[in-house]
Amino acid sequence: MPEPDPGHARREALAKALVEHGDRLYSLALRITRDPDLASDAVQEAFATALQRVDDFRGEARLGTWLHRIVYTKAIDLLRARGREAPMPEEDAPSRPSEDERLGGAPTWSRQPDEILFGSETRKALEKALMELTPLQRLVFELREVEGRPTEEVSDILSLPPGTVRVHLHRARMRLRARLSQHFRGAVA
Amino acid sequence: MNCAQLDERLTELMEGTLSADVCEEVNRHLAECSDCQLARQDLEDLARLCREAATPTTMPDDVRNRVQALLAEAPPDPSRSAV
Repeated sequence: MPEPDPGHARREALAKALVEHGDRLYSLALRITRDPDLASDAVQEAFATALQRVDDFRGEARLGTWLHRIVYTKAIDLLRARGREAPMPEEDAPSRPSEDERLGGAPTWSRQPDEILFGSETRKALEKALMELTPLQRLVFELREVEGRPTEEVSDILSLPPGTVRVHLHRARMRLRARLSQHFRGAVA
Repeated sequence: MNCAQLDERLTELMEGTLSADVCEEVNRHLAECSDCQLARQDLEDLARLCREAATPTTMPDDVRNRVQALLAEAPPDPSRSAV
């Protein structure tokens, strides 16, 4: 009787993870890189690394979370290799608005006109204000508020303590509030 | 608790991570302070704006196909392959 092929089981597990988590993994890469090409490379390289290192995965973290961590690392590496600002855990200083960031590649805020209660001016103001956050503040805020991931999951992906995630989230919220509060007062409740 | 102190607690309030006694202090201040009520409302509006404005991101088919091909072509035992 032939010995079971452990490689086959690993590939199966990763293929299943691709189906279950693929969109969110790509979304994470895109939120970090703001560049569809870099995001694609990050996801592909992450799966290549996962294949090579899957023996390191012992199940103490969920496979999906482990893949998110690898995608995060790959996306950061790709950004740094291109000399671009990356959302590093040690960052704390406010960033300047970046004129050359490729907003067109970021996850969209587009929506059907009848699906939103806030006006297009508010949406544009949000986009602009988000780009004035530090990269880490923006990433934490988007993962938590836009994608609705629990704080604990954001903490696992970024390898930051939950309390640190909340600090970045709080700073992001305060800065966005300062920029956007005038838009909220006229919105439909 | 004053307004500045409450400002620092707003995220913890929204996250539900305040201790019971601090939560009580925060709610007592909120009940009496219209400025802080407005601040909390702003953060709730911000969260609502994000929920309404965001659309799901989908992995492009070509990326998915490349990853699937990568998984299909992988050697039987990756732990023995060259890195």
